[in-house]
Amino acid sequence: MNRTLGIILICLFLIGLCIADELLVDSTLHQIKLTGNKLYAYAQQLDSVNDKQLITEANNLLEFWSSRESILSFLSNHKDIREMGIELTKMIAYAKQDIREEFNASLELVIYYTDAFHQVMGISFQNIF
Amino acid sequence: MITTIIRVFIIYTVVLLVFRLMGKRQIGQMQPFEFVLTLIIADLATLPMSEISIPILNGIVPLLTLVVFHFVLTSLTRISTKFSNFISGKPVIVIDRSGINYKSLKQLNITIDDLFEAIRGQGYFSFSEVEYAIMETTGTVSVMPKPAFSPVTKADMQIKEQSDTLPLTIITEGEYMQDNLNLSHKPKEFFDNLLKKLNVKSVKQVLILTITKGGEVFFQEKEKECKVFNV
Repeated sequence: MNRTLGIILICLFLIGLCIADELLVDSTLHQIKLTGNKLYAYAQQLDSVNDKQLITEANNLLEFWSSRESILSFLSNHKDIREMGIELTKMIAYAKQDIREEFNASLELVIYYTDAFHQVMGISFQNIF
Repeated sequence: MITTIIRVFIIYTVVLLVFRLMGKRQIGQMQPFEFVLTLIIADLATLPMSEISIPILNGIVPLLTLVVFHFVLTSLTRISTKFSNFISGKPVIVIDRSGINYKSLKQLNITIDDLFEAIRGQGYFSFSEVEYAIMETTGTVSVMPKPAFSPVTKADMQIKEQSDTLPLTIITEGEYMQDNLNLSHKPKEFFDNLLKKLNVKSVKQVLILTITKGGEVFFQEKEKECKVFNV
């Protein structure tokens, strides 16, 4: 009876964890991709990337990532998560120095990471096999 | 470094829990799938212990999932004999009255030398001493000797059996065992007085004190010789 109870508790824990993982990772990546695409579109309209609004938006994105990073560390490899933070920081630095090519490259990498992260972590036929 | 120590502690606790939930079995008594499971658990546990970048949950989740699968598998083997035979196999008679069953040996992929070794392990040094030998699902060989080579029992000698109870450990390493004290139906004062009679100043000096239902006491003080007497 105790063993059955233990197994039930483990099942509930695993189910809860799977749901939390799907919801949290999904919503975070979706938000970053959405903001990233908006930033990219906005940056293309500007003559200089050293734009106050662009930098504020980029800072907000980094802040959002930092707030979720610690929670995501429970679920994903810390090395993969670190890459995203590094690229977001670089992106802000390039914007302040007005280096458009590097800013674009960093932003594209951030968007790429969200896709790659989704592909690696999400439930898919390729990931199972 | 402290992180590693904490992670090791957590994973060790989870592995301990996992093995408790799996039940008590020694390596030699394990079914093939249980043995495989043990190896996987050992491997899974070491990764997040040594690699800090891997979340601890990446180690714990597979461990817990394995426990659930194991529970399902063992439940199914209990419910269905066919499934049990499929997973664990069936015991196979390797020696019968007609001699060694070569077909069974081939089927089990064991040699005559392996069989001989297993039989020697059971205390029989010739195939002529064996009436039946069965290869169990755990990989051990059970031997039924021929009547001429089977050990003499009390029943053979028509000796009257005297049923005895297991001795209860009352004191171990200077501590009273409360559960066993209750089972002995004797008050603590009885044993305190017994210790006084044995010139023991404190219970802390006692290494072990056991008592049977018949009143036979086995007593030993730390770093002293044992005493056996009746009360």
